[in-house]
Amino acid sequence: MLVVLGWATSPGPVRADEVPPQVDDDAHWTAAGSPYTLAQDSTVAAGAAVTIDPGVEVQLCEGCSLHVEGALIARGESGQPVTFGGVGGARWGSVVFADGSQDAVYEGLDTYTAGSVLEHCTFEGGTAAVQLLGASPLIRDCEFTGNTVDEPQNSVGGAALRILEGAAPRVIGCRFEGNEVSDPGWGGAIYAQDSSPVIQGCSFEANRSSYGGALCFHSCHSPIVGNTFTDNTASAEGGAVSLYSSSPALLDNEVEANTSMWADGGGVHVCVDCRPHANPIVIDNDIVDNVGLYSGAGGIGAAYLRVFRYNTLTGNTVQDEPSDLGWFNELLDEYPEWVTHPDLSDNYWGTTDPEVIEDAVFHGEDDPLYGVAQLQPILEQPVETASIWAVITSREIRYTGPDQEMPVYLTLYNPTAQEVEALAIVVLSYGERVRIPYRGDLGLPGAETIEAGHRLTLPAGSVMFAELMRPIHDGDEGLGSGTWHAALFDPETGAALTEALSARFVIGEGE
Amino acid sequence: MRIGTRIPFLAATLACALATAGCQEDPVAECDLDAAIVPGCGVLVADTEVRLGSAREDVRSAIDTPDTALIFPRVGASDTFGAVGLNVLYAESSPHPAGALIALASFGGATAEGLGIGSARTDVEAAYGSPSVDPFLGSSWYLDRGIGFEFEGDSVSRIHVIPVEDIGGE
Repeated sequence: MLVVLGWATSPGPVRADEVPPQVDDDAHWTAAGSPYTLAQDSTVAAGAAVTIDPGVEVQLCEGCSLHVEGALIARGESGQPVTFGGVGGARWGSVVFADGSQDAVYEGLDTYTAGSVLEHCTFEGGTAAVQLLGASPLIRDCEFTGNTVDEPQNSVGGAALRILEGAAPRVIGCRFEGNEVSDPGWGGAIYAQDSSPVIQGCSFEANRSSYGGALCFHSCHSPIVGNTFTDNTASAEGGAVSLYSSSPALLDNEVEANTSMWADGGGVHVCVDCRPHANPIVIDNDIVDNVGLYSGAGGIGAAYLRVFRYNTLTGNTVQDEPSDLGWFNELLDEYPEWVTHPDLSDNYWGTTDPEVIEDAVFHGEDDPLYGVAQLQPILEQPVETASIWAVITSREIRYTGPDQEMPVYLTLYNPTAQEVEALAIVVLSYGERVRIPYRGDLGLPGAETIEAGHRLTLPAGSVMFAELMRPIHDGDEGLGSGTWHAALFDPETGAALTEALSARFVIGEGE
Repeated sequence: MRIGTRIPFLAATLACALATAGCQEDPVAECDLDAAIVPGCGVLVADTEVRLGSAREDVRSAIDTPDTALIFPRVGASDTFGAVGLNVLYAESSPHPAGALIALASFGGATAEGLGIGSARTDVEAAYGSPSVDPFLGSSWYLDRGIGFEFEGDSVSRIHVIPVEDIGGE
């Protein structure tokens, strides 16, 4: 192999293929110079940018990683991807984006303009193929296949994509297939912890781990929307998705034919015992034909749900018996009835026969140890088209403080093919009298704060996410318990574009 | 001009009498509007009285067409009258009695104690004492008086006039 002496000259095509241990200046990897080979770990230094053209192959030696402290701009094209693989099929390491690397810069919501990007790239045979350590590149239209984590440390998996330390990437339109984390590990394809990834429009097929065969969120609250999860397997819980101490909006996903081999959630596992609780908003999803081999719930198993509405649940089984939903909120817990006995109405269960539905639902009607989920009224037809939503949630159901963080999250989703002009209204209420319209910054692109609320444009097929605030509870019970509400309106007519969604919370030990 | 007369009150009462359980009466506040902002009672917009419990239609006819009008499902309705600096929040059910009157940045008046937009937090607490504080937004509330204050920094940015009854959280 040749080593290019002019590697550090910037910017411009390089002629040879071996990447030096340190890339200090801008570099341009072209199809003519491909393949580019890492014979050892290499670091793109802070301030440097490596730009990779369509069709370039990047080959890494066994166990080798590419560390990005500057910027990596890998933009393939459909049919001409940038490929990352092992030399001679070797099991390579990772592309690691360090905290401090250049994040993607957008115009508007997600029109890429600068910074790190992985677009139309393929990653095969890596070990946690892409790691984001507090870094937020754009990851769009990429394929992750056959990546592994063989000996997960601290159970941290994510054979394809590992997202840690406050990273907030947009992961859009990617395909994850055949990625695997050995036991005991979390997140066969994606593992995210203490971060805010937006996972949108991706497909997950035949991935595997102990918890969350395809995807595991640990202390993450950003949206998972418009994805397809098929034939993924968890050796423990959550054939497709496992949520730990997380409160994301799961909207408009297809979760089909996934398997958990041990306990809760052949399709989706919402951790029952976590503190803080997993507490998602689950709307407009199809959760069908998932399988629990041993116990728990076939479709979704949960003990806490903020909202569960307009989903289709049918054909899920445990030990070949119908099992669409398992509600495992133990009444020994300290929560009010609206938590323990939730309203899970307005879902479609594949039938209108209440007895058939009850047979496929485990809750307090089956074991008085648990709360009773209210299932009626049911939908008589499945929801065919996902809706626009404004999802508001507080991190916790109960705040006892002091010094407890109280973050509030907002997700806006427009699954339609049309751009939508909207007025977003967020209101905090206490009791029947106190209504406080939120007029602080939404932190969303293009959002304009006006007296009535916030005007913004939701692009077609878009999802937006923001943490509105993170106050610290001082231990004072103040106004007591309250509720956050959010909805979208037509800014011209005032007509509601969405139902209002609400998130109740308890301050102190009362309620 | 005075709105929120006994007529909508009686209509609301009749509607409640005919309705099923859960209907709440929303009587128009009977009190002296002797300042531009009277806690638990109402506000004066120019020479127009706007009282808690007034029907939405009456508020609109007295002030103007709102700049923004919303029905917030499961929460209530809202009219914003930007020219006079007033946001009125109504109950969701007809006749949408006013449940909160919010003086905005362009609202010119003050309470009898002289508290208005821009007043200092210390002045509020000197007048009304120690508040109940909303831990999310930091607003201060005096539920037993029927008034609440939002702040930007330490200056009042909005003043809420609310009913004094039904004290307590959810």
